[in-house]
Amino acid sequence: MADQKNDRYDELMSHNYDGIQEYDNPIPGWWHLIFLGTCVFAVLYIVIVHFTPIVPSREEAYNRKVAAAEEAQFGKLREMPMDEIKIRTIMGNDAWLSTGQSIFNGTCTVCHGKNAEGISGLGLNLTDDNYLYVKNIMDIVDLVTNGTENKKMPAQTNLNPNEIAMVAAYAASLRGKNVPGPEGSDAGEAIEPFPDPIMDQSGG
Amino acid sequence: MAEQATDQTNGAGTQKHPDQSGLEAFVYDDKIVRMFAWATVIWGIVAFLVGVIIAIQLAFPQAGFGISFLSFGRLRPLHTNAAIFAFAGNAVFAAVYYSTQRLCKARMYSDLLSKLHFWGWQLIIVCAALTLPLGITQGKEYAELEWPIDIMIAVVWLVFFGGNFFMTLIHRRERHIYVALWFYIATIVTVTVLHVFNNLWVPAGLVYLVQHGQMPSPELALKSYPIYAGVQDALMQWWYGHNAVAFFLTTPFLGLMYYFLPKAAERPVFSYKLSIIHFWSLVFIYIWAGPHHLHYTALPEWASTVGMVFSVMLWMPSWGGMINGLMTLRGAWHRVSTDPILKFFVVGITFYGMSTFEGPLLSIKSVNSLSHYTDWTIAHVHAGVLGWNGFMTFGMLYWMMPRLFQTELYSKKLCAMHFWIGTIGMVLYVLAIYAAGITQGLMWRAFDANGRLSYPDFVETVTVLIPMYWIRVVGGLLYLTGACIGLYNMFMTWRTRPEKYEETVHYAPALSKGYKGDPPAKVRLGTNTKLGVAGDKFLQGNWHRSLERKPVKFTIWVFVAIAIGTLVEAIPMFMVSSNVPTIATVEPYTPLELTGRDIYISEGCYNCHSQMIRPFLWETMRYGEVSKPGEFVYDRPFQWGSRRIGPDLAREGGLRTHLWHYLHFKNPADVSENSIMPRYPWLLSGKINFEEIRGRVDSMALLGVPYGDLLNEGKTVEHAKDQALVIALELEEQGGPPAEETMDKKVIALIAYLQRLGTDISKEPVETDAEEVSP
Repeated sequence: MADQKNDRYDELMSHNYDGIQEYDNPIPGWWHLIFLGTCVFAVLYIVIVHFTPIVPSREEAYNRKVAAAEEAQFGKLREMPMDEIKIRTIMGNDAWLSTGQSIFNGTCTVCHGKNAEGISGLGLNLTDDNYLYVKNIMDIVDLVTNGTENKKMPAQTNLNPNEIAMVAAYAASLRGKNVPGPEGSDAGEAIEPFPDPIMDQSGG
Repeated sequence: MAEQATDQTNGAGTQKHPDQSGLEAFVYDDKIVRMFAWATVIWGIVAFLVGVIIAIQLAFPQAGFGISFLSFGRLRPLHTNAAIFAFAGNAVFAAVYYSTQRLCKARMYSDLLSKLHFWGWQLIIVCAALTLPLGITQGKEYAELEWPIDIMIAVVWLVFFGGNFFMTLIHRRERHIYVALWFYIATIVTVTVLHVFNNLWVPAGLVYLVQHGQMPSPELALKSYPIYAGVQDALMQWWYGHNAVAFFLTTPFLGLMYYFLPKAAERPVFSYKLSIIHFWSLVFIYIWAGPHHLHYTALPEWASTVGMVFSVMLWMPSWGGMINGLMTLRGAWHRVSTDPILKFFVVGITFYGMSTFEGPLLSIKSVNSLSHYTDWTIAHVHAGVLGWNGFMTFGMLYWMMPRLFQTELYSKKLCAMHFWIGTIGMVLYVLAIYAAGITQGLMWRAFDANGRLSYPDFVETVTVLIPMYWIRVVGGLLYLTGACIGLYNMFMTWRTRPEKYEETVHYAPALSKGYKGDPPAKVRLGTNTKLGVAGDKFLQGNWHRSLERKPVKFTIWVFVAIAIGTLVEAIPMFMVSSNVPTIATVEPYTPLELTGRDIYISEGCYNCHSQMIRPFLWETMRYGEVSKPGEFVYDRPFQWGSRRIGPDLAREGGLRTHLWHYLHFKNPADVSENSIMPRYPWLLSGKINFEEIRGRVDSMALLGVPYGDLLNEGKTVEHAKDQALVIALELEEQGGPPAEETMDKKVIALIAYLQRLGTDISKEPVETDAEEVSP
């Protein structure tokens, strides 16, 4: 096409529509090249993505990410049974506690308030010594897992057991901060102090 | 050929030339063009104004005032529909009516059809403006208008507009049809197909009337359910949605460009060959691209891939239009600096080029994973509509004004001012919203050092956008100001019109039969093989020249071109069941939940909330398990959404208490500081029409939803009332208002629906359904 450029450029066609004329110019070469390139890309993409094992399927790629993320986030927690030791271990590990805080901010603050100070009518203050549904630290795990019987607090079904353990540990760690909350948010009565954290910074 | 004369020739009636035999006399109908031109500017201002109002609401949510018909979810569809169908629509009609007559050397076939088209279309717009703020909607983007209006659109578009246009083509006096007309043909054919197949429904009010013999309330009478559900509905909707962009906002505007740009520039079109290639490749490829709106959703991956690769291949066909536009200006560039009309066209075409590069870019899956659900898409469409559609429209209007009103343009200075204010407004809007989109997209996927979300609280990712939302308000206001200046200029020009418009009589011979005017194809190559000669002849395009003489055949080929992509995508999706694997525990919505779902649709919740969790870690960590195709089999229409101004709701069920939802609807800011969601006080006081739930359930049953025993007389209403009472009592126990106050209120139905969302997959499978069969 390039060789025709000089002699055939800007040659008017015989067309005339309401005064509009058209040139018989060739289509630019780069237009053809890119168009062809995108067509080749289309074929290659389909073949490589759908008919070869080079690229993992959408589901496989996601599952791999999940597995890697679980390893990185929970480490040895995954092998520990859901008991007081596990919660205390998390409470003694800054990284895990900060994960618990992140879960808390995405899940719990809508009812318990940004600083866990409680929201009138919706959620209790979690920073004081008064508890309504909790007698010991494992009751927090039970609350997050199953909610309350009177449905004032729903079960958090989107969290997996390790996330529940972490958010429960974080919630327990808030005790004693005594952030002032709205009226009624201090319902319940004072309970025994929670057991001490097991200080262990490894694995987080 | 043209002569001045004052004698009237009516309609398409053909009079003979007084002197020469064989010539027919005709007068162009410019009155109808004037009407469409006025409608374009006036509806344009309405569309921009509503846009500014909802832009303010996002930056300052109190601007909804707790009034139902001013709420974002109801006004946003009004904004989009007004911009697309009222502003761009009337602009297209003005362009088509002006240029088709001149390109065919014929008056529009029927003045009556022209008038019916004009007034019918304006009536549709008025109906849209009345129904959408009242929450009467189908809940599918850009296809919100309810079924009676759908029928009006089909009639006005195909019969009045299409009929008038095609009959004009048939009665034309110009042998060949020009490229602008090809694009108009593609527009009319494809929009008809899109509109009809995306709007197949069962009207709930009619079902209620037939089954129960009672007159439905207006609310139920105007309610319909689509025949498609879930994944299939999503495919059809975005096949429609994307091609509304293609065939309502692209092809007719390319037609407009091909007529008005060479006219204004007084230059020949750059390349006839390019016109042919880019027309056919555009029409054939565009129709496939829809699934790129559904990347990583429950749509099967193969469909997503098809949508993506065809979008990538669409890049050059789109740019063919841009090249032909800009290259046509060769030799006229010196005039661009002084002529604001050419300025409008240049910026319009440039924005077209940018948008059609960005479109393929956004369709690439990995890019889309970032851009989807964010403001990036909003920025993209505004670059397209404000830049391409808006500026092409204004350029055309300014060029037509002196010709339509047969006087001088009132002020070229104001015209230039419109151009600059509009351009600055547009750039402000687009840059701010690009920044907002990318910011929010990156925040959603940001992980901290512990592998958790850096911004777990969704509201954080919205609050940070507010300054950019204010810049958008300023940009939008500037664009609106520009349009108002345009209206003023048009009004002042109109005021200096002559007392009586002159009607020029034109003469041309009717087309004779048995045309043999084609020059034979040259043998150019030094080849004597039959194949070589045939190939060379094909490349010379004579076959296309002959197609240009046969509008009916041309139309059929356009139809074939758009049918291929449609059928290849739709048939497997409907026929192959592996595309939507069933999930045993997914059950139909209860009558009350269905009612709540209809409220969700009516309030336009889908404008801000998605219901689709994509397979990304940052997404499942925030919202829960990945959404499955089988979860949506009872969703008519699907409500996956396209923008997350609020969080995804696919797994909302059970996460919060009834009381939380109740207080949140009353005033979101009370429970979620910095939330920009509007208040919904009318849901707390509005009552559920329990009797008419039968119409809703019966319609769904008609579409094959297994409601079984519930359909027996009385059971539906009873079941709904029972469920409402249970929720109202739970709400009371949680500290809400007394149950007798809330048990018949709309908010209860909506809560019932929200608490059900996404919960079915975690239910224990039931071995038999013996329970349901027992009396």
